[in-house]
Amino acid sequence: MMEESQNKIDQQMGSGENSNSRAWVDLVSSIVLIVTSGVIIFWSLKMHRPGGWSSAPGLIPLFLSTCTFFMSLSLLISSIKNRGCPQLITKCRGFSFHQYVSDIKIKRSLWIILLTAFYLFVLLGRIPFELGSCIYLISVFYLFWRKGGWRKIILISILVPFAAGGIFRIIFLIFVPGGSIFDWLIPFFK
Amino acid sequence: MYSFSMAFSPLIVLISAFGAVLGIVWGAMPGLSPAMALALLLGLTYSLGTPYAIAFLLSVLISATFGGAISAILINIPGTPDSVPTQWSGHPLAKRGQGGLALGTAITSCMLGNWAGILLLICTVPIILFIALKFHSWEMALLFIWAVALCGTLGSEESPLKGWISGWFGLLIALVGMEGIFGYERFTFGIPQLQQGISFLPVLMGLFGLTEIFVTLSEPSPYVIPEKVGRVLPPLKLIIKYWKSILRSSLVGLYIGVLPAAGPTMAAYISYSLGERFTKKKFSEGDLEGVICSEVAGNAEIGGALLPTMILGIPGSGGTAIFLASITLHGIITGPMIDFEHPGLLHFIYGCLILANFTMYLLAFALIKPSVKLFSLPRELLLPAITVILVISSYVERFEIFDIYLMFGFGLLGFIMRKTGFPIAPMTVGVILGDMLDVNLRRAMVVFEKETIWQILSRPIGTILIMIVILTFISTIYRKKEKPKEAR
Repeated sequence: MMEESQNKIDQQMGSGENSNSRAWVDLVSSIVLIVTSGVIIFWSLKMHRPGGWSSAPGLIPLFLSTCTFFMSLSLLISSIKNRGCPQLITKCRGFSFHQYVSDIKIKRSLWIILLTAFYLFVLLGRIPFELGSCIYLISVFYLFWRKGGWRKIILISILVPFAAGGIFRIIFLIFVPGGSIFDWLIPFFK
Repeated sequence: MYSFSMAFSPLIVLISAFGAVLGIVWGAMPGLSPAMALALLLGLTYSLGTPYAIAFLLSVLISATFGGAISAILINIPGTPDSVPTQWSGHPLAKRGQGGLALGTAITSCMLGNWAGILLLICTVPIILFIALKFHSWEMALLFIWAVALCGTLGSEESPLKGWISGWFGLLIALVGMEGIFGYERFTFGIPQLQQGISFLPVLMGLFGLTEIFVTLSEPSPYVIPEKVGRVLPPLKLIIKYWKSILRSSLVGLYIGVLPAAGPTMAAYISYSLGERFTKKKFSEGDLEGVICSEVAGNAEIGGALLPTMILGIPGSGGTAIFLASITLHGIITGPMIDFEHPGLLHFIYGCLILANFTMYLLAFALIKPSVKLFSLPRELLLPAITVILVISSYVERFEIFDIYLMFGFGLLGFIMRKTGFPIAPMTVGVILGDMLDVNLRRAMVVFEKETIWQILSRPIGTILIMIVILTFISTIYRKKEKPKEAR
């Protein structure tokens, strides 16, 4: 669906070249970059200068963000030249949230990002590492690798975190996030 | 009393082989760097005698540097930061069923790089040290700017501008945290974890690891790596054909190695980038020459980095810094007097490097087939399992759960960058070099405060570097403009 709408835009723009057909992406990203570098320039100018400008903490951020500002400006100009504005307007007019989320690629992207976020922000640090990883792996395999079958899914989801946790905690004596089920074994190895 | 032949005693050979296995396995795990391997395995060497500890640690260092190529080529996630360029040229080859050959070439390149490093180390000690000692803050800052300028074209198919923006933002990311001269907090927003700055490991794991997972799993039918290994040993003709790249990369690796704190990552990036310019090829489409450029430089750097470590007591890279710390624990104080205080030690180290090179070469070839088999598993099975390793890799450097959140943030950023056509690689170069650029450039500015522009330009190395930086920018823009004409 996304590709179809992209092709439609390409046809409307009379351009078959990939870089030109994506000028609207450059337009949006250059605006974001210009704003970001502008904010960094402002912060850099506000930083203290205990030993004058030559050693000021804000000197290098100011130099780098000014360079980035002008580079982003150049990107903005080239995207406008490549008809980025009309492309963006067409994109916005043709945008449908329902169509967007029903695209299979978008759906899969959202699922993997959400599951990973749940694993990293909710599970890790609250329950033992092996348990959290096990829950994450079962859910990801269930969604993306159902052809593996339940037996394999459960076996691998248990084996991988326990092997990783065991190797790092027992052999390398490294802490794992949220603590490990193997923690109680460590005194026996000392 | 040490000697060259002592390095080849049976027990040292055995210890070196053990170190090679540990190093390869460690390096192959995404994100776990050789420096980290040395730091964690240091504990194992306390009870060993000094010669055995040196042999073990050098073997781990060399093998872990190679190990990074395994996951870089086969799963498109770099095992070590310096294997990123290997990933760009090697992974497309793996997708075409030439993963075995790409790995074989990487191993051979590592060996050649190590040999070049050792030979050049022995032959060119005085000259290289003389030039390296002429590099002060100003020259170092210019060198870092050149590295980022070179990276403008890395991975950027559309425009060098996007590469430079990405690199410059990487440099800005590296400036987060307490700065090194006045201890002033920059861009920390009151978050205590940001005071120490942003470590490059979560950035690397997010930008390359998580992004690869998000992008690949979003495909309804993700790509597969053919299970057939095929030819592994690169033909001799191929090595001879690319002798110029091998020589150039060896020199780049050795020289970058000698410069304090520059490290193998910078050597691999610069060598890869120079390789693309000299050969006028696009390595990212899958090219063995790209693998050679990156791996030879990354490994020649080890020999180079050991030079200032042993002779001056200044480590050339993170890995050699930990090596230096570990031999200090064994009572060896490095510096200009090392040959008088520990007679034969330098020759023993040369011997250990040669031994480690051989053990790494043999064991790495033995590990190719199982590695290809393992990494050719379905992506839907392999990549989620790798997330677990990525989490540990991001966490182990500072044991901060915040670093895992950072990894996720950079994973999302990388995903957006891939979708919008901004290359990820220059950003990683920026993040790695940003802090050093900041300190060196500001130190130089303080030194130059009362000097005129002519006095600054009278420094020959600095002026040459300024010209190289300007030429790099101009040639990149010119090449970009030239391409459409060629296409027509």
